[in-house]
Amino acid sequence: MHCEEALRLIHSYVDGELDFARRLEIDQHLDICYACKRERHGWFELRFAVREQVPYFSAPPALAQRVRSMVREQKPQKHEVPSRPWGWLAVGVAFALVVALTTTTVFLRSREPSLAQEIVAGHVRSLMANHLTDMVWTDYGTMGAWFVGRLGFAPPVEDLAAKGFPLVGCRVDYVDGRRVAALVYQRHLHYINLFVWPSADRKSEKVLQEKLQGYNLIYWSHNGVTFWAVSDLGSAEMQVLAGLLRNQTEEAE
Amino acid sequence: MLADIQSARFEESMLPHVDAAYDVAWWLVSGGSDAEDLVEEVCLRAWRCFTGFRGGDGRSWLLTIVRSTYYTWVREKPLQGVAVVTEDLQSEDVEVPEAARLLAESSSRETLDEVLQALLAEFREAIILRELVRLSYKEISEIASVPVGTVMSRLARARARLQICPAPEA
Repeated sequence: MHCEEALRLIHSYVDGELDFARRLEIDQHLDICYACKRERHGWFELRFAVREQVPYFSAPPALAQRVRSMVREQKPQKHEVPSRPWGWLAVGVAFALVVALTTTTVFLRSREPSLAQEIVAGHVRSLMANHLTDMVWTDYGTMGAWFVGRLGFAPPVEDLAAKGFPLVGCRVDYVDGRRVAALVYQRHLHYINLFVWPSADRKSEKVLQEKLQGYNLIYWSHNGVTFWAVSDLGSAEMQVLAGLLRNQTEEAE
Repeated sequence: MLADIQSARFEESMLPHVDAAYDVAWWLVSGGSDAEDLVEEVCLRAWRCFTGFRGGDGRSWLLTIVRSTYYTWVREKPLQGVAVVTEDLQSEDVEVPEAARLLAESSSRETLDEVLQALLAEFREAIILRELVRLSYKEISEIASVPVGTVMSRLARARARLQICPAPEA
């Protein structure tokens, strides 16, 4: 990759909107190009400054109250009836889908039992040794640079605090004979270890789930990256997290 | 009875996003009571056409209405201090007189939010939706009804303006 191409994509890069392969190409270019690296640093700093310095204005409480009373006093549009059966039908279809998906995941047993055991062991080890994270999460750029320096790749995921799964931090772990990225998300009082590594297989795979030694595992591959999440969280919440992570990686493409 | 269910559904799916709507509105109209009026009108519109809401992302839906209501306002009664875009945003050189003036007047004292406020609405909204509401390019492109590439170039240009602004502490 040349500077021109790298600079054309630099905003998508700092916004975490690039797919894994593209991001890797830019990382490789930045390793050898000081000028582009400085450019990246500058945009990350600006993003950080905007988030730090530009105030977020919340609605005054009275406003929400006015909206609430307006809704209670005024009638919505006239033709509301035809839409309702569809609404309930959608709910039904969604419910059926959820049931179908859950049953599939129950029957699709893991093809890699030893890997699952390794993942659980990694999770347990991380919680026991008081060594959950090597780096506390601040922003994508810092984490990406940290991983690129250690593993040669950056996992294409970010904080999910807004969705109820804050990213606590990350570390490098060892799974399946290789060094992998380990990201630690939190859900209330539970920790979730997400192990990420590049894999040769580029096709997208189904999300699979299993339970081992009281831990829930959920795993999938997407566009040449393998993801394994493990936690003592319930399987429904693990599915929610997997869905959010998959959205994040897919939207970036 | 139906109306009760409907209003409960509205409160459940829309009220959690009034804050985000207010923040975007605040930055579009540059604060004050205009932001409150705008959000109130937005909620009224949202409520009137709520049967058109098919579930899904309530925040994006509400923010789309914030945006369209704002541009209707600007067309009907130009707000004070609000820059209206008429140029072709794809063209390489869009003039930002307010930002340029602000920067010229005091090259070291303007804070980021002051420069942000002086940007054209299109650039300002891209920054707010991305950095404060934390939406993805795809979500922003849907709200602003522009291609993802345009979102990217607006962000790039907005950031280029903001970057001239020095750090606050000195």
